[in-house]
Amino acid sequence: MPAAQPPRGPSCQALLAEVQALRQRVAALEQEKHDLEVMLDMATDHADDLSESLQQERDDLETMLEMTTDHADALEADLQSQAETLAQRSQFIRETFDRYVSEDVVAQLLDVPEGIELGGELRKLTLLMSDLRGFTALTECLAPQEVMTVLNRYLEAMVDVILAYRGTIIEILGDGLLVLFGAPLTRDDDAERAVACALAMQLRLDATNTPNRQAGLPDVDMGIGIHTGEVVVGNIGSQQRTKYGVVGSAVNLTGRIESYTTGGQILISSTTYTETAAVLTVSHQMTVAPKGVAAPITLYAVSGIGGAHHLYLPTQTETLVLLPQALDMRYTVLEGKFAGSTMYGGRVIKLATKTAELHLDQPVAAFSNLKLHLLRPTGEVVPGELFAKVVDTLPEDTFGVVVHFTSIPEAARTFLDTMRGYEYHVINRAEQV
Amino acid sequence: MDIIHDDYQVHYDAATATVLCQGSFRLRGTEEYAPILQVLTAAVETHPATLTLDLRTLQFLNSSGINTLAKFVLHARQYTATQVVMKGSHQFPWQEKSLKNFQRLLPRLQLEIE
Repeated sequence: MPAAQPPRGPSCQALLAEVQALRQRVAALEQEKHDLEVMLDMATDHADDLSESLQQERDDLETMLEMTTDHADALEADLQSQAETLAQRSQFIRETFDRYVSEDVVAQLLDVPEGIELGGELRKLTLLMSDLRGFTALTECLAPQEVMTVLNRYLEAMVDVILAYRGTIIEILGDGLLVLFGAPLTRDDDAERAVACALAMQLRLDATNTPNRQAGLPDVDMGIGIHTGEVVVGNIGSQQRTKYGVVGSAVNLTGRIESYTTGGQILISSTTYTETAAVLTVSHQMTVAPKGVAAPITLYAVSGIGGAHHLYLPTQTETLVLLPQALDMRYTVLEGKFAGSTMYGGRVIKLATKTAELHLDQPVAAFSNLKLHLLRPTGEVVPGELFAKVVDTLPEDTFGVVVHFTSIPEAARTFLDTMRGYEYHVINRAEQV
Repeated sequence: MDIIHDDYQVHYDAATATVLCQGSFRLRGTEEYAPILQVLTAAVETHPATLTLDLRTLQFLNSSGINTLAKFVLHARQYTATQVVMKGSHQFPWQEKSLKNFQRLLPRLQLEIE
């Protein structure tokens, strides 16, 4: 039987080698583990960085969103306040202009709110001023209620005409009116419309006198002055009380021109004439030298307008009749609305219903306003004061003038009619009404 | 580097390092605002000590516009050596309310509202 052999195994050397190899393997693994740990740290750090930057980006985006929203809110607030301003402006335009212009002009103003300058601007306009001749004197003879009846009947008719011609009524001062053509809205035919409006006003006034006569009230006569020039137009006044108005020398000149008119007359300046001459019918022209105006100016008395308007005043044929016997009278020259203190004597030579030729003791300037008292042949004073404007001076006689009566009290009218040789019929008011 | 449009203008004055924005910015979206943003970023990229953004005559700026300006401010944040000055006006109420928000993106932004 073979002897048992000792078990065969790795030699000692081989084992040592294996241990060595295993050690190296562990070292490599440890290195790998360390590298991995470093990589993990790096990745974590990087992720942290990324996350931080993402957070920053997110914060920025959030801020931008908030900013955009805030900005949109600010814009909305601006729009709201603009809308409110616009609404207030519309309301203001309506309230301001409703009283002065027709409804369609208000509508036009609202359509183009940026087109009108309310703050004040220099603008070329045509101004119209009208006034009742001798109305102040008339008020003294009538009862207050009668004054208001005559005045309101007149104003209602005139305002109606003015609005129809697209005029802007700036001022109603008693019996006087100040009207603009060319503000707040400018039109090409402003001057022409102003003249046509004046003619329509004169024609309409005749119609308003009819009910006055029926009520036993006196006729009223109106003078109209028109001028085209540059004025400052806009809102005038304080915060509490403001109104749309005009200022400038052209306004004063319009008033002067109006003061040269007699009842039923329309006088226009040369600037208005230049713009309207092509369609106008002018009855005569005159040269006047108003106070405060450097050189004399030419005025034109308008009796009609053609073109689109076609309005003509009825021709007045008043013949001056030589009185069989000159009538004694006393007069003073009026300065503005005040009578001078000195009374002069004079005589009525020729007479028509509203016109007379006088011979005065003292020469007076053309367009002077006179206050007269008539004397009966007995030397007794006829009750009541007459008012008249000197419309012409006689070339052959320094003391001779032609006057247009602006106010004749009833007693004086009776007396003059008697003197002209007419039989005077007393109107029985009860029968007429 | 100027943009001239009927409604708005952008003018860069290199001598004073000032970008002047005028009129009403009503453009639509990022794309339409790109040329304006380009003028702004190009200006800051020249590394001026102070860059002024003059908005005093900018009447209107829509939401895309405020976004464009915000993008510019974010871009300018990297240029730490450049002081950004924004000029506005009390005349346009939105400027008072919106411009101060840019300081949230760039606290060192200097705001001058007159």
